[in-house]
Amino acid sequence: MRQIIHLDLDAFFAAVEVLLNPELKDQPLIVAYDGARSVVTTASYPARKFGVHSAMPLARARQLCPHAIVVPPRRHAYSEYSQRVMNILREHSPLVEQVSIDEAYVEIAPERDAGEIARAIQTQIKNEIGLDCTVAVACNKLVSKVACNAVKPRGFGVIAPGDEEKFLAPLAIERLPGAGKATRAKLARWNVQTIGDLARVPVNELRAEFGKIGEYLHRAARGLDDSPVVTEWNPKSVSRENTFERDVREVAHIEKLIAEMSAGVARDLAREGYRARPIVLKLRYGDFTTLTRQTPLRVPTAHADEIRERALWLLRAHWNQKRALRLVGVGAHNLIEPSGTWQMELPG
Amino acid sequence: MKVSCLQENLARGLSVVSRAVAARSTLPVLGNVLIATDQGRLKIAATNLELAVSCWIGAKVDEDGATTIPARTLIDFVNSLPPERIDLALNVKTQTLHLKCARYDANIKGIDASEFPIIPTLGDGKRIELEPEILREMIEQVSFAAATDESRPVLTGVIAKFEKDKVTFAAADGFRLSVRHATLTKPLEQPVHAIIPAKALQEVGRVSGDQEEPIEISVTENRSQALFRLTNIEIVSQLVDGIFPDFTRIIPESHTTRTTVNTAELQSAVKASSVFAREAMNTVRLQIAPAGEMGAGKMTITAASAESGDNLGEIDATVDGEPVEIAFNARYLADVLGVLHTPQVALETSGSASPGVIKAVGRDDFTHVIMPMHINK
Repeated sequence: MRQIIHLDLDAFFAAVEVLLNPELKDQPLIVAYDGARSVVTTASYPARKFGVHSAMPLARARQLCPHAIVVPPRRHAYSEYSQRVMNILREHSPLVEQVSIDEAYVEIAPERDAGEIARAIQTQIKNEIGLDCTVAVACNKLVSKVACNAVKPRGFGVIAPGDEEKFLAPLAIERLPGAGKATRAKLARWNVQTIGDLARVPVNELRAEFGKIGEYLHRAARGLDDSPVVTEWNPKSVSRENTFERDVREVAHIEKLIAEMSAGVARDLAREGYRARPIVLKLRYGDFTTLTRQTPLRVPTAHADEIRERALWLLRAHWNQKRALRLVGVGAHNLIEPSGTWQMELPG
Repeated sequence: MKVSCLQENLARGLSVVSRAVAARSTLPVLGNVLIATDQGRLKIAATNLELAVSCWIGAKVDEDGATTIPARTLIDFVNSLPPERIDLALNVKTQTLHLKCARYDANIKGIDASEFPIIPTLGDGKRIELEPEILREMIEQVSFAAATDESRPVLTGVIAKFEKDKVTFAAADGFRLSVRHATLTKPLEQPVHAIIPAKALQEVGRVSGDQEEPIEISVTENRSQALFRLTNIEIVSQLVDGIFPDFTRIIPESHTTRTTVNTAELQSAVKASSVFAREAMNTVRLQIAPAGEMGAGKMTITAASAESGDNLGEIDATVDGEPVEIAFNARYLADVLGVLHTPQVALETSGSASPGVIKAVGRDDFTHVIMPMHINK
């Protein structure tokens, strides 16, 4: 039996804003660009109490919650925190599928206790990063995701193997992934209100109405899903990045880190027989302004020394040393497959 | 200053020095050309501090003087004038040059000549003499192989070695190497080595078209500059500092296949394949098959692009050795084939991953080495 953890970060963008500015804690907070036509990206739970939710027009949200604090989204900050969460997940299992910036599936080997691991992940993310999340365990991706949404926020859920259909049956049909507005309108024919109602519709009728999707709906309503956790990548680039505990200005420290990351990038390349063309250096200052700068290579390489040399060259050329760094990353881009073509270099 | 000269002479002189004008400089005077009377002639000079070119043209000097004039303005204006006499007169106080030609008049604002850098001239040191056609061909056959990017500065230069009665030019950009030897008419007592910027040599080649007398070359004592003296033209170049890699070690000593083909036929086939190669990292594949049961020896030149399609060209070849398939950058092949000047060309190879050597058949003074492309077979 498979064991899948679904993880969803709670009010993620708003939570990051609170981490970066603790004064916002427990305030009704709305993350949105401030404009006449803008919509709410994320609302904190205190704001949600007033009926504010994501995708709502900002003007409407302001009517519902006039004292809400509106802050503009800071994508770099969110993706950095997201990366840190994903790194924690990868410590627990190599099978991690990141679905979006705040959502992921983790597959746990059958002999391990997935519920215990899910708890550990939740605690670790809270302790090490300071973010709340909801985790749910089930035997497939579909049920773990529905379960996760059912117990948000700061929730924890385990659907025991065999209980999938029983768990889903009473839930509103909207909760089922894939049952969007148009689908629900068509399902009204069978008076489907809950997922259980859908499970009772004969499969051939669903097939006749929806084609292939009908088959999916039938299986999904009964808690059946065998889609794999997709971790494979066909890489266009490989990279390593590192966020410092505190912002750093010491050249030696940064150079040492770049050497380590270059070696890591070289190992990733060598494992698959890839070669890199440009080498990319990513720098993020304390205020989250981020630079990515690249330098081409004369000859595509997988050598750690060459990657390091190019990355250090970029560091010297582009780092304003008066400003402390929050994050440094080294990447290899436009990868050439082992079967690829490149100009070889003369010996000597 | 009061001078008269012919429009075509002034235009030619300005054209000779034009490439030495600094394109973008924080020093405004480097964007100007020096116009100065010099022993009954008019001297025109430009420098970007790396390269300086001076040229003397015939003129009627009524009053000595000198100034510097913005190059672009002067060149464009002079080129638009009719081929008649130009009268130049400088207002020293305002540093404004008045030009008059036929019914055209112009006043161009200049900068005082004292701000113009002093350009070294050919001293009394040891001079090397080379016939202009030999020097021009050496430059043509070698300088294109020099690197154009500055990541390894020595490779932007041509190593010039003058020893006894021999001279060798070599340049390499890490992917290809070009080497050319020649004989000096007057042997040297002391060897001279210098890394001359390829761009400076190309200027020497460009302005020496009309040269008939031998070209004098000398290198300053401290090896910081090379000077080239032609009739009425002097070129001074900074030398590249550093140690040029030992290129003799790059030239393979042996080969497993020697293929001789008609130069023009190979040029045409490479050109045809370039159409498809340009979307495939410029890769052309050469398949070389010796004469045998399948018929006479031949070379097949192919290129393929995922987007636009593929092509195949076939030429007769005299193949001595193993069959081989090797891929090259089409541009590198075209570059070297364009400077060979012999009807036959030989390609010596030792498999698809070893450098290929290109030689002009019937001449032993030129060697070109190209590293192949890595391809998946």
